[in-house]
Amino acid sequence: MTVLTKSGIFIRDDGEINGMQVFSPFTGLFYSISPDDSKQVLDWLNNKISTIDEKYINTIGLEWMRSIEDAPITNLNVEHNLPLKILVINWLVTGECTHSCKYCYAHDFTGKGIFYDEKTIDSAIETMLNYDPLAIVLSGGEPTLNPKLKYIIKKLKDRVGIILDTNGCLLTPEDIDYFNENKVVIRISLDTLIPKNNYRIPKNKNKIIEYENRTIESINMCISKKSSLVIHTVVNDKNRNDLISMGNKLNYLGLKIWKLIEVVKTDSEIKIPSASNFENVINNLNISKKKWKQMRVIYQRTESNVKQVILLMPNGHYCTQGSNGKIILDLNLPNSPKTSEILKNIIYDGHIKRYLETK
Amino acid sequence: MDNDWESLISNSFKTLIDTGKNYASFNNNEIKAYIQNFRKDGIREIMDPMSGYGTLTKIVNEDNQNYINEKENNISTYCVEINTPCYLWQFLSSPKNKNNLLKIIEDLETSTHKLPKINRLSEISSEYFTEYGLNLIECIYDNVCKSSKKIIDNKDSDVFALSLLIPYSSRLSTSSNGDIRHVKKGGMAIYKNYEVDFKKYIKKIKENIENIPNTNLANFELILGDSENFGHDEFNLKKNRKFESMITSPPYPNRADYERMFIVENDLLNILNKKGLIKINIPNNLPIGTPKVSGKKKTDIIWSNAVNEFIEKIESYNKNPKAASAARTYYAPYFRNYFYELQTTYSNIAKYCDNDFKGIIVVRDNYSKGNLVPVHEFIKDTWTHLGFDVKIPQPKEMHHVGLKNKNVHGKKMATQDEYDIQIMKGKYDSTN
Repeated sequence: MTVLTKSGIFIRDDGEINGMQVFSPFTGLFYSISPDDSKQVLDWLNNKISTIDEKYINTIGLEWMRSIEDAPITNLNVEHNLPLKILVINWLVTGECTHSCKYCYAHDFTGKGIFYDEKTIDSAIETMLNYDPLAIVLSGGEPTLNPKLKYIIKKLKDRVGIILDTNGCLLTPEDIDYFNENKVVIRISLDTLIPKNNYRIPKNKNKIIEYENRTIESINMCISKKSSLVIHTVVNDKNRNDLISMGNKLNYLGLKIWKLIEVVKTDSEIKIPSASNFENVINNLNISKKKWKQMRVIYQRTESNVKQVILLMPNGHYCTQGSNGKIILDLNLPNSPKTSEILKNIIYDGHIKRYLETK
Repeated sequence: MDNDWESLISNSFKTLIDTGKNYASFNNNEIKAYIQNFRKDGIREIMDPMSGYGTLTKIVNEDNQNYINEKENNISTYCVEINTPCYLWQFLSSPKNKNNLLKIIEDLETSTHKLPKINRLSEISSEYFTEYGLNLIECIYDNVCKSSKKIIDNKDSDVFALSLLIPYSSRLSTSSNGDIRHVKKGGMAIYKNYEVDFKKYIKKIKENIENIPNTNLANFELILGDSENFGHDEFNLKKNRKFESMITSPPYPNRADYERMFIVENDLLNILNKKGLIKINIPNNLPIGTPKVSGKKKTDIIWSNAVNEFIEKIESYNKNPKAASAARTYYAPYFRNYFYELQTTYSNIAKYCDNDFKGIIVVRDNYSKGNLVPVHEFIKDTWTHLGFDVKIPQPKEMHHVGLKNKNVHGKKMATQDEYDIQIMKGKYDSTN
């Protein structure tokens, strides 16, 4: 079961074979701990022991025990079997949005949805937590457009890790304070700093610069308020040559975690031009990482977006992303699918590796 | 985070500030050898009509240090540059300006606290500069001008101020650095800590200037102008002024837009110029080798047979209809412009060469559509036509920083041949 340790880190002990899964609200990163080390790490996280292998301080301990600037880049290799359990659920709390981004999961659902009253929310949360995820990503649409967002967070707080996936255009200082108090990881999507290279298009095309500036303002606010902030960038043909320059600027502003996702090929009907040759990009990033001492760069390649994510759609259905649109995970019980049906209909390996920080 | 401010300025100036060199610079050791050879021949002034980042003056000044108390053995230089940011870099690096610049910086360091506080940390725009960023730059410039006017009491005070401003200016631009030759328009300007970074920049520039060897026995003349008009008023050439030697290199005909390498700085200069805030005469003409071909004047006869044959081959390139059209409408006019403008430039320069003259032109040949671009042959044909003796020694094989395509097979495309072409007249003419 997912529990909050005294350190503020979430863990889920999956037993002697599958080890322990860890989510850090300080960085938004996920780890898997070998069965041999699980107890010791758990004791450390609950302040029962004060010393632990450096590799854990430099990974799980980032930003609460050791600053990114002082920690060498360390990976936790996964050599044990991973559990056959859901790790993360993406909850699309609304289909409403200020933008129509080309690679959005909710592009085929633009209405409000059902999660605008507390009773429905409470029921949905209990169903979700029964699957024992380690974290829930609050997404959309633009989740900050749901007036019940803070209610949702209040209900999830301390029970599961919370990540907010947002375009950052509507965040206020009060919102950020609230997210900080409730240990929400704020994950802002930003693919480029160059307006004309953006696949993130607001519905009102006259407002491109205005919205981009609102996002930048949000990023700066999060940094100054020491939020758990992750910038999420999808690498594509338009932005690949700008990433170093973008990294220089984000590093300068004080960003701590920058996650770049390369989708090697996509079978989705949503067309992102496939990334052609990113070898140079990765090489250049590896060189630049050494000078970005206070920013951790995570570069992740995924074979495909297909059948890796578990989505709770605005209409209450549990789905995954198929190559031709959404696939309902359990046709008999769309709003509360059986775990067996979920696991049958997703590519589990892709699901877990999408989130875990592994070698 | 000490040097993070350098990652925010344009790659071109970052490289210049760090190393004093940039894309397509001379090889220092080779040029030094020529300078020492010229000195032995009694040459005391060397001209470079396309002087780029000022490598010639730098090496001449360093070599002059071996003759510190011997005025008669010091070599002077006369350098011309069309690209204003490059000219300003040379101005900043010139031994002639060292003492004045250090005094200006000393005064400036006492006034950097007067720079305005910011009310935002960063901003996105699709232009090179935001309004807010320009306001900050104007404040910096105002500060620098005040310091400059205290030390320089003539119209040159503006140039001193600009030379200090320009290398830093991209710090406040939105631009994104691509590779060394590309700067992208639009992005995020960072205002955070701009004044702290300006102090760091000034400190770094001061260190660079302090390291310039002292000189008071040689003259280093620097002209902002287009050598295609060599001899016009801005060149300050009194009647009967002649040059006894030259070391230079033409721009590469690889369609690199040297103006674009400094596009951010040139954009700023244009904005400041339009506002009437600067008083230098920015050359209107595009540099030789600019990839812009439309609207350019029609060319006249090119003397070099090698070039005429080459252009014919380009015009008849016919791999497919699209390529054939591009060859006729772009590549052929591009090369025709390049060679004709260079021919005109050399013709004008030749009028100011002394009867006893010795020159070195460093040239690298490129390839286009599988054909060798015959720059070295063009140089030979042109200067021969102008009445000079021309010698072309064996070429050196060079790897050029601009060659990016590692996947191209075959020796020809992966390297370039470099020629140090000797141009002679009078007593240096080997045929005499």
